[in-house]
Amino acid sequence: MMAARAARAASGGSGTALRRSAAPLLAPGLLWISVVYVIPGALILVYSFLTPKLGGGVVWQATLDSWEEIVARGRRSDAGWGTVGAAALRGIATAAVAAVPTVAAARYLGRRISRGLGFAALLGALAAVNHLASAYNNYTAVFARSVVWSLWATVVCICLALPLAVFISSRSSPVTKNALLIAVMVSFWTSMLVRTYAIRFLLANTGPLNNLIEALGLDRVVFLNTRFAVILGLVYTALPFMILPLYAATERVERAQMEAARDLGARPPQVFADVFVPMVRPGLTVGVVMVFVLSVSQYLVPTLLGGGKTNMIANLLELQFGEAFNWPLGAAVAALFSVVTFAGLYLTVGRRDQEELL
Amino acid sequence: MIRRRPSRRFANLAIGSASVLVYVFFYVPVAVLVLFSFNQARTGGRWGGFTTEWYSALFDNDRLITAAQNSLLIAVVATAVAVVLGTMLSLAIDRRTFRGRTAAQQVVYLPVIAPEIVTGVALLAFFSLTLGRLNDLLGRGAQDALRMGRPTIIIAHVAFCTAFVALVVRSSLRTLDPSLEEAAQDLGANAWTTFWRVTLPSIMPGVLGGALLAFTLSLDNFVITFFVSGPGATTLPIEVFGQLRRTISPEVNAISTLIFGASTLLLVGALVVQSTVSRQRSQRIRPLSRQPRNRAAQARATQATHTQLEGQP
Amino acid sequence: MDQHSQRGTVSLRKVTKRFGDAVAVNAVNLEVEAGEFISLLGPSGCGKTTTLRMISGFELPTEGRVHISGRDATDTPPHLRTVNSVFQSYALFGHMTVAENVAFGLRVKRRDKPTIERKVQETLDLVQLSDFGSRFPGQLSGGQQQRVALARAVINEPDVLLLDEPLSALDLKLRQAMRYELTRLHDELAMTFVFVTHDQTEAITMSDRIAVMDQGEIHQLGTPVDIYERPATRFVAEFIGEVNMLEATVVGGDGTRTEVLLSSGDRLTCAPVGDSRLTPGVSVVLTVRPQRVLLTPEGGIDSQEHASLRGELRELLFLGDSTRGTVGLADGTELVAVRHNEDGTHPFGTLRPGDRVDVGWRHGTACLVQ
Repeated sequence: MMAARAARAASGGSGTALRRSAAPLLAPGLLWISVVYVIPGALILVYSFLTPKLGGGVVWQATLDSWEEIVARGRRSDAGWGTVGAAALRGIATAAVAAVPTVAAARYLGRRISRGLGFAALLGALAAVNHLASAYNNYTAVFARSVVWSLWATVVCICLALPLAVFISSRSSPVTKNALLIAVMVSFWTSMLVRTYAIRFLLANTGPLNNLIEALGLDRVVFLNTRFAVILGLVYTALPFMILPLYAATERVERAQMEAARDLGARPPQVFADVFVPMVRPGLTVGVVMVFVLSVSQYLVPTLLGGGKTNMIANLLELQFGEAFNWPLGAAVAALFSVVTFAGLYLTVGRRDQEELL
Repeated sequence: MIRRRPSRRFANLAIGSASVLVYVFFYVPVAVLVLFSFNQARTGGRWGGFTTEWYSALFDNDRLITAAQNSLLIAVVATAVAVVLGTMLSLAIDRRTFRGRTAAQQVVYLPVIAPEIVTGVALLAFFSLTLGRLNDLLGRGAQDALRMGRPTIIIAHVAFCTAFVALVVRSSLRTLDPSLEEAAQDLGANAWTTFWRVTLPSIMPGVLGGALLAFTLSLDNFVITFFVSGPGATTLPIEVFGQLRRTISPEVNAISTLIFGASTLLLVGALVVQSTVSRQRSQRIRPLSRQPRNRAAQARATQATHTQLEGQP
Repeated sequence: MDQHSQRGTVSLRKVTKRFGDAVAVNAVNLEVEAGEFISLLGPSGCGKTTTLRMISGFELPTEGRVHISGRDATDTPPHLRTVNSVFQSYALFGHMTVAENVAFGLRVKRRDKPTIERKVQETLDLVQLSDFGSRFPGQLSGGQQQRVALARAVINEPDVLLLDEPLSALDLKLRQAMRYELTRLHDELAMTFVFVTHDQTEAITMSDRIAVMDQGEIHQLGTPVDIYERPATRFVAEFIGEVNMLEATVVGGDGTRTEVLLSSGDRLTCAPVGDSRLTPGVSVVLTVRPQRVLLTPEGGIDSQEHASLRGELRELLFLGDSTRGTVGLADGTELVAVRHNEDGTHPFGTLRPGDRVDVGWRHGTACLVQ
């Protein structure tokens, strides 16, 4: 009895544990991550304002050269007011074409027509910006290409992952469920390099797929070093990142809520749009963010499947830090890319979703 | 015999066949890759008979062996450090309140969302700057200069591994009832004993899962490693990348097959260990607070109460 | 037949539902009249929820037809049926406000906005949630969520409202309040209610008629009084309230009375239940409610109007508003009598455990079931 009381006294008042300082637990890990992520990140920003040194590295002499190069000097000679007009035309055309299905969908789902029109307008704006960026200079063109390809990959991933998530979560036996999930996780855990190489091997000009095509009496197809191959690769490497969060969200959807919607007169597409999608939205957001961020900064896929030197942002960065040896220019691209990525994340992901994401 | 509406049957069929297609998409490229690692023909995607010679050739490839050894060493060290740091971080964030908690949290999860390529080039700039200054300071010349290699790779790997460990451990800390720890302290255990005897055993599945994730991420990491490795020390993915960028050869298929097999084994092993641990735990601890979730049981309980209370309608 | 007059009727014709080999509902026939409050009562797994889900359209009958408002609705998908459901878990849409939840049915039918707004407000008024339209379901109490679920269903003015154990998630007090609330709604809306419950009190207090179900079959369909006073089967007698059951064998009788021999050796005459199968030699169970059982000192029962048995008082239990006496008969079977306590006096006089007593009941209050 006395011993127990003494022991408790010695422990220094157990109730204070939660009020104790967090520093000893926090400091080592936080410091380590800061050294590897925060300080070099800041350094990159500094480097973007310095003068390049021949053969790599920097001369500590401030200049705005790199930023000017990206923003202004690199402008293509043929870019002008004509480009702006073409971009506007393209945007309007895209919006007009897109408006037909989006308005029809809005009507069908009982939403306001303006929502359908708004979505079409967004697509048009995207097309116009894409056109402008692609025509302006090499840097904006690479950014635009990375973003557009990643968006395509994200859309394809959603289309593939949704039915699969529903399929897995609607299995009644837990054993089947686990087996199907593990089959997805195996792909998730396999090295990115191996997965990318598998696609490269399959699609190679003298690879198994082309041999099959030839055996069927058709002409060989050039798959590699095309936009198709890169987007396929992006989807292949990022798909598990969409399936797993989407599955987790689907699993939480209550069957009764879907039935309630049906009971109240909603047709299956309305149940999908009005009840299912809002309920899986947190998982969907996580998946979209992961797939997009992963794809837009992909290095292996555009390198191994895209062939060219400046396919996507990562290739541009590698070029500046590697062969071209213009570190400040690379630093400026990296800084711009980070800012765009984080701003995009902040805008697309609300606070609530951020909680879900972490 | 269950009758279903035709539209329902069609929807199920569509979902089912789309799912099958996804699995085909996942596994056909890998299966082809594995198959052709046993192909006798040196070039092209044409089958030339079965052989295992490419696998035996791998074991004579010294560069590959060295790179694999490097990879393992780096992964083991990075995982060990990251598990400790990551668990500490998750404890601090989840079990302590302090000013700047949100900011700290955002820094901790930076590696999860930061584009790897940016981290890679930033670390390249950072390490070449610091190593250069260090060489000047120590007066080392071109011969004995400190260069990027295993230590820089480990430093980088520890950082992102720590973040992922913290992420995984935190999710299992969240499901752990804090009153368990309070009970231990109430019974006279100090903070240290509480951690070792109560908290750690309870979050062990999370810690194991985090360790596995860290190990795999370190083994597989390509982009960051690509920028922070030096000529002296490459890892397996860097070495393989160098080879497959040059040629498509059965050797590359063989080593890719081995990597695929290893990571699959690792995953399955980890799942088995994790499920065993959590099963043992659920057998040991049976929370009394849990109400009968079973609706039938609940229904019976209410019914019994009613019969007692309202026997006479 | 005239469609209009049949609005609100439900008719199940030889409806069977099998899941694999398991029979959930077995050849059930049920005619629900327009505007009535009917309860499907039974233990869990008796098939009552499956029956309801075949009316709402979430399960297709393996055999048989389902008619709603006079029309064959067997193959009609749920969203085209003129019925609406209140789900056991409420199944409210967490991402929509209360008003949006309630408006959902009208919105998917593309009613115009002013109509929707007006009707939503009316319906929220009806369930006394006028000021809660802009809240989210997660911010409401269980009872309030229940009302939202009700409002969301009745706003569509369905021919039939289906309620699947809607009160089971509430605590006792709320449940009692909601019982009254549901009865009031039923009166105001003049809508057919099909109510599924395992709770006999809910069924008895609210329903016009009750269908008692067990193992996929309807054991008895009748008014609450019928069900309580004249149980048709042993299951019904046991499931509803407390009941004394005495094993017996039919030894004789005619159209007006049946003579039985109890296992205790006593001979009794009972009113027949109109069952022609009660021929001599058939073993039956005699059921009698404890509230109907008299308990007196020996010789205290008028044997002209009462059936009476002799026994020994084993136990007296004071229950607050009533007292419960347990009597052992000659062969050891027990019989329970319950009496209301009045004016603080003991309803069983000076009787004490161990006393020799007579127990009995007025002819016609006991029932014979097989």
